[in-house]
Amino acid sequence: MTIKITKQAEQTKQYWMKKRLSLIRIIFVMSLSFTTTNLFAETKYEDASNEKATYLTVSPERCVALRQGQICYQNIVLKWQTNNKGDYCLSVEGSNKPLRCWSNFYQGRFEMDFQSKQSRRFVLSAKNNSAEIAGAEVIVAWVYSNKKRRRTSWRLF
Amino acid sequence: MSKYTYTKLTAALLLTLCSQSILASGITRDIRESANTEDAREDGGYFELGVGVYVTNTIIFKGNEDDKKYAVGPQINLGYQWKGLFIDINDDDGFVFGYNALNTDHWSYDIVGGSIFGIDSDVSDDFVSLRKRESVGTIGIRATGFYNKDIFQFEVKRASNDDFDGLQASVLAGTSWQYRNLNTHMVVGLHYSAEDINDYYWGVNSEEASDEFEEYKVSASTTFSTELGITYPISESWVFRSKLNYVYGSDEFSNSPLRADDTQHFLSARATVSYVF
Repeated sequence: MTIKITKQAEQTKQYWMKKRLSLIRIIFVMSLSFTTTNLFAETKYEDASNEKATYLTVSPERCVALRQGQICYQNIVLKWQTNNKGDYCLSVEGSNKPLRCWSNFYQGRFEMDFQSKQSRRFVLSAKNNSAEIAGAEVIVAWVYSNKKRRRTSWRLF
Repeated sequence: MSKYTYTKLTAALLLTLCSQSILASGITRDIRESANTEDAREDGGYFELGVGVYVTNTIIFKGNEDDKKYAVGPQINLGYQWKGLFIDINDDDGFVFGYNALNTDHWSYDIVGGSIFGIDSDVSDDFVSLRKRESVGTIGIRATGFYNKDIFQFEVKRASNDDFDGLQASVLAGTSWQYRNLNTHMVVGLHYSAEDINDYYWGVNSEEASDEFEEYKVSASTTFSTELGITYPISESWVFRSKLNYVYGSDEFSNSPLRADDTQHFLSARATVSYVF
């Protein structure tokens, strides 16, 4: 009897040892998989952050005058970035003369005193190529709109 | 500061200015909005709602000497025009209604109506023993000229009731200038008020005279006014306005027994923030 009990206990012990080993293996594999996934994700994230976004922003985006037709004044800041170093110029859309140019830069900042009766669009282009790389607009708004006057008119009841 | 006090101060100022025709009014709103020859009254309206603070250097009416010389309260500006008929109520030019009869390249001619606020015990408890000075309507003609940033206005109006019949007239000139988005304006004016009108509101006749209010006869008066103001667009819907008014009143008015003091110098300031609908 004692021998039988001992043998059963030994078998039970071995059973649970195998189970424990299996469990350990499962946990190990899962951990390995998780770590690999994270590494992969981090790698992908690093790859994404290394690709610089191309943009041109302006702040603030609106200029408010009291009345339609008045010149609106606003200090604005333009910021730009591209994904490649190069020679770039910032200009007002429709204007031949650039506001500012940069050589061998991939980002830049430009402050100016905006003065205009109308909304204006700013564009970033390569120095030797007028094609627009990025753009941003300052919108001119007002509180009171114009009213039209009729020239020499009698009103009749 | 209660709304009643704000209303009382405003009413006192309007009465003083309207009855004396010393308000630099009638063109302030056009000046603020930089109206020009290309603008005209067309069908439509405006509505603005805001809050304002008002301060003055003197109390007008006897009996109100303990009142505060400042007030804070709501401000409503509105106006509407339809086929030449118009009505305007605003903190710059007061209350006016009328008909826009003729427009030329530079001038606009209107038939205008308004009101002169009455004086009674509601204005001051001390006036309970006096006859009630009734509010009356006014009717007149107005010519407004627009020359670039400059605006000129001439107005003659008649006020009458069973007790009096008289004329008031005013000449106003104003201009505006812009420093970046800050709009500044200035208006100067001369105002005439006939003896009948002045005596009705500010005189004391023999029937109502007493120890407190001696008999007093008022003659015609001419007063000078000037205004300096700013307007700034906070956003597309919010506007800040402020102005400083100075009036040199006639001694006819300053010596009235209804007055709290005899100053001829009236200085007031107002600032409002309004939402433009």
